[in-house]
Amino acid sequence: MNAAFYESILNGKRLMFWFTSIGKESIIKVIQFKPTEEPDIYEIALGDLNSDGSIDLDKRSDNGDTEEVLSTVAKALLFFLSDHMEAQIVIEASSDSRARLYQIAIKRGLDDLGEYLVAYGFDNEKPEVLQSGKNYKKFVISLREDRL
Amino acid sequence: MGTGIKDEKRNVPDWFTPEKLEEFRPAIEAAAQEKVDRLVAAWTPEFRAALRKLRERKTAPPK
Repeated sequence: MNAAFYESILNGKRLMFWFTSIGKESIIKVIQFKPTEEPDIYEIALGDLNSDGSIDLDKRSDNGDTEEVLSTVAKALLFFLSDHMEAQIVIEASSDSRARLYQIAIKRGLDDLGEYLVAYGFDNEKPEVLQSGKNYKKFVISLREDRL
Repeated sequence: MGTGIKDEKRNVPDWFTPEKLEEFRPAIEAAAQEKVDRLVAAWTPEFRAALRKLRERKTAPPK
């Protein structure tokens, strides 16, 4: 079981979340939502925090709890969007295998949260509603317009 | 600190404390910013235009 926590950070913007991934070992995962130069567009960064304070942002942890980690990230995303209702979050996969994993997780997340969230996959830089059998490397998630 | 969804059976590594998180925060944020800057720099004009279009659609007043 992964316990998701968000920090009561001083500016109250909930831009950073952390949780413990409990699989083969206990790993502190940090999720950050970073604003970009485009208004209301954020990138998400997920990384493993090491005991020396360094963070591995592209590491594949292989901790045996991928589903729980992705589900926790989805919850953090919803927390974030509840505070930043106009935000659109860009998720970029660093590899094809990770893209497939994200796509499965997003599809699954939409089964649970589709009432609140809308997700697009980018195919040749054009957004489209996610389709099975297609592979996307970039995704954009936001609150549904009728939820604003 | 540490409010939100809670699990009573937290299994946090011994080294990780709220103080450590505060100590590490600048490095964590800098690393994430560096990665995001790299990703954003690689965005094509077409992708940026598509993002803006999605945003306009999202923020447009209801008809």
